[in-house]
Amino acid sequence: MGTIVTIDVHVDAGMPVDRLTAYVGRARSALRRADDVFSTWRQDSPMSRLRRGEVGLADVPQEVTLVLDACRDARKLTDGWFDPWALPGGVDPTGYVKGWAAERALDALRQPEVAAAVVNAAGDIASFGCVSPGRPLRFAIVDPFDPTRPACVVEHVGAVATSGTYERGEHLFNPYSRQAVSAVASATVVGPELGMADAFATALAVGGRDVLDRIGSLDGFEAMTIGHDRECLWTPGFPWAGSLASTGADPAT
Amino acid sequence: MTTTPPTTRSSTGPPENYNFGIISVAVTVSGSRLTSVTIGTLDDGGNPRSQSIDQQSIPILEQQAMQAQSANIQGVSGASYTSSGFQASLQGALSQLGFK
Repeated sequence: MGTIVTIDVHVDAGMPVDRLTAYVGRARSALRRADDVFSTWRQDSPMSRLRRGEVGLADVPQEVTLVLDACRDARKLTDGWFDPWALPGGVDPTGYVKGWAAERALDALRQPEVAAAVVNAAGDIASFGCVSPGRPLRFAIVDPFDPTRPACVVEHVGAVATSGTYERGEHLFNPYSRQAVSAVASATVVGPELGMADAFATALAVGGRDVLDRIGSLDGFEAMTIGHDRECLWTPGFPWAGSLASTGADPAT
Repeated sequence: MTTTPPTTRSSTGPPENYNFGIISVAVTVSGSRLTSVTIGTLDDGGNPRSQSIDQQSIPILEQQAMQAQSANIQGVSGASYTSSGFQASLQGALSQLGFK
């Protein structure tokens, strides 16, 4: 099953519908473009052909190089716990590109009439703006033991990525043991950008405590895990709703 | 004037053939939320199809119901969209709408 994306746009009253439709159309085009280039489900996508060795980097769209370079950064920043090159079948940047694509869609919505926007790609969120004066955006994190309930609420503007054992198909792959395992039931990373937050959340779900501490040392990122035993660990600045760490500042403004 | 009929690209199998399906766009206009639910480019040959959907049948929108319960939440983060239970009912809902 593919990635389901929802787009929430908060706009000023009186905004012409055709303009709104145009902006949302561009956001959707950005997602389609990412799918066309990166989908490993499509046999003939540039990514699939690259994986099969039929083409080289010089023959594929520039976004591929950009994404793979970012994945190299993410691999380094997570001490190898996020490693698209360790997956069977050839390099697979899906754990990063889903978030990156959501950010490209969000960029299409950064328009004067748009007070806030939230792009939610299968539970990973990219956002900007403000819906309540002086208040940051608020997001619920799903309870991994009961996905119909929230476990908690965070206050953050930007990216919120959650990875978990209940993720389908993409069995979380431990690049060190080379097995599909996970250290925690749910791993959440908040930060300024969703591609990285996504990669970090993936690394956190398999790497657990070591990765939590690592992410805590990275500027702008905070993390939280819910263990299989329901124990919760988090970085000191994790923006629980109502905590001192959550501020109303939107880094984009 | 003659018009060229739209080219239909048949979906070559179940939705596994693409990574991004856009299932919902919600628009909030100065505080009151309108949800317009549209199916994105799942099988359109370039022509997007829109249908109204029984919200109860789409599990992804259960997440939005969670949102609605707490009016001051702007989104829900979690990996549950793709859990197997959700997949099964989502698949069922899409089949009902003619997406195989």
